[in-house]
Amino acid sequence: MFYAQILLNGLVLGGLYACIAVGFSLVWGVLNIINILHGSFVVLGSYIAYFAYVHMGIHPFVSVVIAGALLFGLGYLVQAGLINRVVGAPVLTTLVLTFGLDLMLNNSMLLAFSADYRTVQLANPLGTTVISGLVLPLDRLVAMLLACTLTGLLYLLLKRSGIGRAIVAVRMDREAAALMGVNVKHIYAVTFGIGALMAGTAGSLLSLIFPISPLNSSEFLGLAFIVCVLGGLGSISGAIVGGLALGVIQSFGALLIGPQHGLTIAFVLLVILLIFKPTGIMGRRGYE
Amino acid sequence: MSLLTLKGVSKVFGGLRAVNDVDLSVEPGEIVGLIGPNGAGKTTLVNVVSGVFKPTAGTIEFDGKRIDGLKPYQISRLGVARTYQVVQPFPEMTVLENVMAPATFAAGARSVSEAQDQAMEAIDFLGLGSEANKLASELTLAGRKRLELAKSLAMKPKVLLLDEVNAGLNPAEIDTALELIRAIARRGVTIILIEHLMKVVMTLCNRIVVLHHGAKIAEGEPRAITKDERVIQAYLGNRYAEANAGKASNG
Amino acid sequence: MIRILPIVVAIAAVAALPMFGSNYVLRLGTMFAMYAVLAQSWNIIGGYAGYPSFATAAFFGLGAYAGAILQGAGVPMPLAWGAACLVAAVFAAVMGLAILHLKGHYFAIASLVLAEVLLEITTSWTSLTGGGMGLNLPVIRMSVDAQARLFFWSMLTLAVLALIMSWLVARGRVGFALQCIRQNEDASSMVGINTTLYKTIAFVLSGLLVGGAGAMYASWVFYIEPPDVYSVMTSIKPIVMVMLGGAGTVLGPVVGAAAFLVMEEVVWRNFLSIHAAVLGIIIVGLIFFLPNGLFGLLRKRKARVLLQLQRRGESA
Repeated sequence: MFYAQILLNGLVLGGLYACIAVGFSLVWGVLNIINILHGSFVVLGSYIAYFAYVHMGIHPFVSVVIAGALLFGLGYLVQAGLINRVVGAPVLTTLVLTFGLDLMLNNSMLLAFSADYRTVQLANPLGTTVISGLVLPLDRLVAMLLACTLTGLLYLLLKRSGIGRAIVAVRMDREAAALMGVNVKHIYAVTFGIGALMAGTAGSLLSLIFPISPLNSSEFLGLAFIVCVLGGLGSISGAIVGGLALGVIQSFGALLIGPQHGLTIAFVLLVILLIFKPTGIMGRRGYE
Repeated sequence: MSLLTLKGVSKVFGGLRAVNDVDLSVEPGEIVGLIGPNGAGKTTLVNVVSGVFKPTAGTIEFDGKRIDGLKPYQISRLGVARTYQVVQPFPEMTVLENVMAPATFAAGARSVSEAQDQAMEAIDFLGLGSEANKLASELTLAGRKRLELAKSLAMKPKVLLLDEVNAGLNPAEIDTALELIRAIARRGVTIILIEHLMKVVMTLCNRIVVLHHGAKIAEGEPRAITKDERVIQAYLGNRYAEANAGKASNG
Repeated sequence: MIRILPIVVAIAAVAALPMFGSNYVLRLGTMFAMYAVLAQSWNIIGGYAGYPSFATAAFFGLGAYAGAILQGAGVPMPLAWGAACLVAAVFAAVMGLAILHLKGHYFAIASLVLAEVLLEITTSWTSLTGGGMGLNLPVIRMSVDAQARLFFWSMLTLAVLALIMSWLVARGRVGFALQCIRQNEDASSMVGINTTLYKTIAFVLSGLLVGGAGAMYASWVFYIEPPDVYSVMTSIKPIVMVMLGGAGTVLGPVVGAAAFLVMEEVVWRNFLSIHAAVLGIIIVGLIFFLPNGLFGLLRKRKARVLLQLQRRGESA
């Protein structure tokens, strides 16, 4: 029973990790860019949810839409205006560029919001229930379910919609897609925007669970990496599998060596994976 | 003793048998043609011999030594050179620098001047002398193919594996390439040649090996190979082979 | 081409700094020398070999702690520094064998994560390293002025060693092999280059002197803690410096280090609260407007001038 609880905690956390990572994975898989800004996008989404709640009483679950829309716009502009000029450049260039942009965004957030940790204290929290001996923190559970829903919507978008298929086409073969009439630059910007959107929505959902501060952005970024390497790149299913796996591993790991080492476990796992099996559980290799 | 001996060499990728139980012996001084339809496994075989892939089964002996399982750089240093179907120069270096690399690292030139001399020898032999200081990226395709040959020569190889060295060349360029290959063979280099162009294979090679679906289906003199039913079947399909056999028995 | 005499003169001039400058200037000089060591070292794996390494922070932090722990155990300072170099080199050799077969993004991330893992290990191993509380180094019985000079000259020596190392690599077999590897790794194998060996050599060289710099830094500031010496900025800054000066050249990293230090001081003194953002702006500007660094710009200008002269000569 005890282990079932640990497993449940891991899955709930994992679902959220998947939501954080799925946008990052998409950008890496389609544009071949590791977006260092991703962590800061998540934090920005959290702040949007926080201020929406504190000043306008909007529940973070509803803010998901606001944060998503705003971050999509920001992502689209950043990509179209800046990152587009270096797509296809060597790894070093794109990594250092997104790092530089992240320095700007992160510093701006520090100035605007200060480094103080904030949390969203709901006036009417859903609390917890106990079902057959398992403790279910309802707010977290609903957040995780929303995260899964959004991820599922993204999956449908990629599979069914015109723009989704265009994105997949560009991922598979950029030149062939261009020959088929796909506006590759626009697709890149849309993909990056979607990546930012998913980060923002994840941030909104996480505002209830994690303390909010610009200092957290590198942790979210790190988690996104690990999920991608663990689950395999560029696919929604990979992000979900990776996210859930990471959540569960961390949950059980915390049991063995204490919760403060959660990030260490994740990083050691990452190094081991990179050395022995960079394609991850689902076996899908990203661009190198 | 043969210079290069392959015994039962196979290479499996996941579910695909790219090379299937191939036996092959190459004597010093031969020019062997390796032909077969697309996807027959010719380039994979070359990759296995040159060490890019490790054979899943079988042994490869070169000059009395087992080379299967060795790394590509080790095999290069022992005297096996290969060219690539899509040429692989060092784009930011000059022709001379490009050829000095194999002279230094494979042929063991001990000083910069020794490497330069060896490199220029190979460069002049291939007729690239006037372009020695041009960047590799500035050469025409024919020039780059010659550069690739010069690099192979600078390694002082005993065996040279040529992978579709004529792809993308016009007829005049192909004739020049044929002459160069003959000249290289006259220097004592044993050559294995992957080719699609029948005229090249027929005029150059004293022996032809045919691969199909990774396996060796025929081997022998050029004339005999063109009449071999299995070969015709592999290239042109069953119906043509039967029609041809019927014609032969009637006419 | 590098002319030796002007360089020697320049080094001598810099070494004479203590005669003209205050301790503040000496501090800047020490920082410049340290940056030069980091940039030159990174240039070997990142500029010559073309492998985007983010491992500098790992080597620096490891060297800092190795030096600090040894000094705490009574080892004399210079020996502790030398040992730190060795520790970093061994670490680079072992980790290099593990991660140098990765390419592109995967290698970059793996190298970045090395520092993170070391940071976590250092923080947890409290008995050895003082963990999150940090580590104090033994006090040096010397005047403030003498100390300033000591660390300036020590760091400068390391910087000169780094310059010599870079120069030797560039004109030797190792440099030739690394150039080939950078331009076409498969072809390099084919022409007889043992790519694993040369990449590992490059990675080790990129860590050797950085470890020493870390140990010197620890002795200089007397107190270190994990987030300080394993900071990701220690990996990013050398890359920016080399990009600024011109990757794959011998003097580029030095020029870049100097330029970067000047910018950093100016920003620190005037825009402290937004210095990270300003660094970000510098990076973005660098990538868009100066992709080949200052040396690249000079080379282009020289080529243009030569072309104009040639044209004028032809029409005359």
